[in-house]
Amino acid sequence: MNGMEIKIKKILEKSNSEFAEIHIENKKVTSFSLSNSQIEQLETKEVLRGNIRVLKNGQWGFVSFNDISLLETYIKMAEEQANTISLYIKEKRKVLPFKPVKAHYRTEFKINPLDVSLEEKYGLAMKYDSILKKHKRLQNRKIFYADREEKLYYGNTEGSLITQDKIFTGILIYAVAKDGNNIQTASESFGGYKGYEVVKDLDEVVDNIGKIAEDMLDAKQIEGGYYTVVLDQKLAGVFAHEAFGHLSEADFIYENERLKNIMQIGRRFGTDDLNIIDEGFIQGEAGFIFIDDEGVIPQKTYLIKNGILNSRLHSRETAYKMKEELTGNARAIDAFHQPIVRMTNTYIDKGKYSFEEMINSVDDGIYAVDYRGGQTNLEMFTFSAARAYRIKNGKIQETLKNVVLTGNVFETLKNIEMIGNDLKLFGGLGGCGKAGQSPLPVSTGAPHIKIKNVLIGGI
Amino acid sequence: MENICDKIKTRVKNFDIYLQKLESETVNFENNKLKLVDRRLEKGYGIRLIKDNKIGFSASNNFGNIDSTIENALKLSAFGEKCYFEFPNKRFDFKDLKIFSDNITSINSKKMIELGKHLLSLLSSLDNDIKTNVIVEKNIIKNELINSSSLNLKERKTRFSITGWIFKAEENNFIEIWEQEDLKENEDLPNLINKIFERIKFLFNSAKNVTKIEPGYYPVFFTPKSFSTILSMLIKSFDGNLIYKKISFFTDKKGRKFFKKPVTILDDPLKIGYPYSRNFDGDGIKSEPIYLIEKGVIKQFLLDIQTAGKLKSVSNGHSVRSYVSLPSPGHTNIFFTVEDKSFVENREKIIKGIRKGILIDQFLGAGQSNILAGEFSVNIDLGFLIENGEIVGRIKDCMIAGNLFELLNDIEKIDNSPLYYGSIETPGVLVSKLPVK
Repeated sequence: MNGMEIKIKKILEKSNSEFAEIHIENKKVTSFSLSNSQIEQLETKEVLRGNIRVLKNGQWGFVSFNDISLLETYIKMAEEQANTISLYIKEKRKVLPFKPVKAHYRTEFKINPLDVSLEEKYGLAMKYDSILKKHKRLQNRKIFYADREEKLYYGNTEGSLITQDKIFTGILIYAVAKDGNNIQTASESFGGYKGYEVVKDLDEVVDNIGKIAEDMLDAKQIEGGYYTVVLDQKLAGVFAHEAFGHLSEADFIYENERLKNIMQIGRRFGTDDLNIIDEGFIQGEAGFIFIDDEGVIPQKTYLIKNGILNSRLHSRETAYKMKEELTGNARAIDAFHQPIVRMTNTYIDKGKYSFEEMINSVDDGIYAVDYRGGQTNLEMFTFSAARAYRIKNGKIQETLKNVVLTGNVFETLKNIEMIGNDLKLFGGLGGCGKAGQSPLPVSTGAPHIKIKNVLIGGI
Repeated sequence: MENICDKIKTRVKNFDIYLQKLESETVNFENNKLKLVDRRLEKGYGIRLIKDNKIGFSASNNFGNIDSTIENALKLSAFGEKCYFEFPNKRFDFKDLKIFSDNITSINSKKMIELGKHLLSLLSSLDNDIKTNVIVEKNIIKNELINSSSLNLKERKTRFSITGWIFKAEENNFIEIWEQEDLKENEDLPNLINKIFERIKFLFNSAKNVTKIEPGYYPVFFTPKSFSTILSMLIKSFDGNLIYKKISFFTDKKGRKFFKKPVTILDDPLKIGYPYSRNFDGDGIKSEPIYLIEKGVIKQFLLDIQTAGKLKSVSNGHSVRSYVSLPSPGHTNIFFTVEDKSFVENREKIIKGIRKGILIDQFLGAGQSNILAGEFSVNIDLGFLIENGEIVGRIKDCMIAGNLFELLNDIEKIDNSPLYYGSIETPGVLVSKLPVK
């Protein structure tokens, strides 16, 4: 045990709370962007953060800080807060216990980005920039690179003591094409708990991004209306995350009787072929976790199994309250924030159809590819495709722009007609936002899927 | 701070240091009950230095590793961006912007709990089946900037805000409504709570009946909340960086009368008592209000010293900065209006004048469209059908789409009750027609 672990252990041993936990993290980030061959926003930062959360007299107290020399003061502050709340609330909160975990975890990588010189990183970005430069209609080319070394310490009053060494590497390639007032963009991001290898050898992809941005200048405007759509793996993954993942987060449900009735385990949501899974332990993915931020080991959780609502995502508190099992989904974006119920790697499992079979089955519809963003209010979701193509008589035709899809979660899940056999997961530099905590690294994925009756906004 | 300064001086001639201290306290009520008091104490610094005319930057909140932070900034400067500025040395008098209030610092957690409880009980009385969240937040911020041109600026700020959120889930009908208020100068707390409650109450009651609308073109009344979302998309195009890269829609349009209507967007960092008011920007330049658009004419873009240098211009003091990052162009308090009194009407009167149209209060998925080109296509999260001047019910599962720049040209009326959301103050706005799908 090193100094930090001993310190955490000592403070926790003295605590007489029902449950208490301490997070300390030290993150070193290097990032820069290259815009039209010029370096911009080259930064390094080293940020030390910590928090103490206690459950005392049935209530929570939470203090976050970056001066870690005052842990004893902070734990008292957190306890006082919990005591204050207990003056107002009679009903006591409880958490489900978990076995003590004593471990040291380390993410795997081939090339440690910290061993790669800044010169080499800059050289790589310049290489990608020169590939984009061949595309003459691009007005702006941007490569954003970031790597992060994380040292995390966690301890709780159950006796868990965990240290983690994690390396995250990511890149974003962004191209803006312009023709008069017509401005179009294309981008792609790669990233995850892997090494420098994740950002290397992307020449072909980069070239394709330049090509897509240029092609989009000539894309036709889509007419708004209801369409049969085939979603590519990336967009279908975002659909799984936005449309169903958030609805499976138990903190929306555990104190809401009405929503509990709607989200009853055993309720049918889709056809027998539909399986939606959240799985934290997928090494290397952006949403990869060894352990969640409450010291619980993540499970492979079938949210929907054979079309039926099977389980949901939990923190210790929601699992206790709902008398369900822990899934290891309490996560915080950093130690300044408290853990809340979040997804990790969420995906629709593979089905039986080939991509060709799906496209062939559409007489008149849309093939929607890649995404710009997505949002849900639990009942309705919306996400925008980066680009789309018309499908006519089973064949992919012209490129379309401004394809924003929206719908009712429950209806749309029922309207999934075909699920492909080509599951793929995507991470990247972005992430998920909830309750002011954004971006949390997550991966999403799916095979190609075909959905009928989807509303597309158009312009 | 002096300690950091002395250390850098021995290594490099030109630099600035930005130091931030934040103390925040947040009281969270979740699902109709008090959940958590969250306290955060944070202090950190960012060092920007120039070596061989290139910029190096490093930040940390660990005051034990100042030497290595300086070392990192120096190391990075070898690859850094070319420097297009000199650190400002111009001194100026501070205005009393009333952005620090002892009344706010003295609000303790018990008082915050009481305030939250009060809003919670009001909101919970709307319906037995709604779930209510309330967040009461207090921030005490200290920003300090020192540079090698002997500038030494300090400003303290307090911010206090209350957010109310209600959620009701019925089979095939979920509703979610939020409202937020920042405590401004000369405002009292009970009034703040009432304003939040009255707005949510109106929206919730209006949404009880669910109705449908046929796709087509309709007049649309945007509440200040939804119109602030529209404006936040539009303002992105005024970022000096996008102008420099020629990817803003407004590139080469400065000085042109771009909008037919006399629309005005002002960015005012000197507005007394407003949350984003400040005396100096992230580079240490004196804050001044600027018009982004004045009576339809494109006037100025948001600039920091580096971007201004690239554009061979001078900074207008509109850079934003936190200790962890280099400064970048950004806005403070945005004010939108149409400068023609004939546009202004009482909100009730505007709605009364709509034969068939919609009122939009909340969007879902704004900002995902091709904003650079001004195109938007968003889901109407909370919207209502208006028939013969009356709100008849909530509309769902529909979208509006259009072009932001054309939308401003189609403004017919604005109301006389502007509200401040996030950092944008705008009245409600009636647009003559937009496609609803």
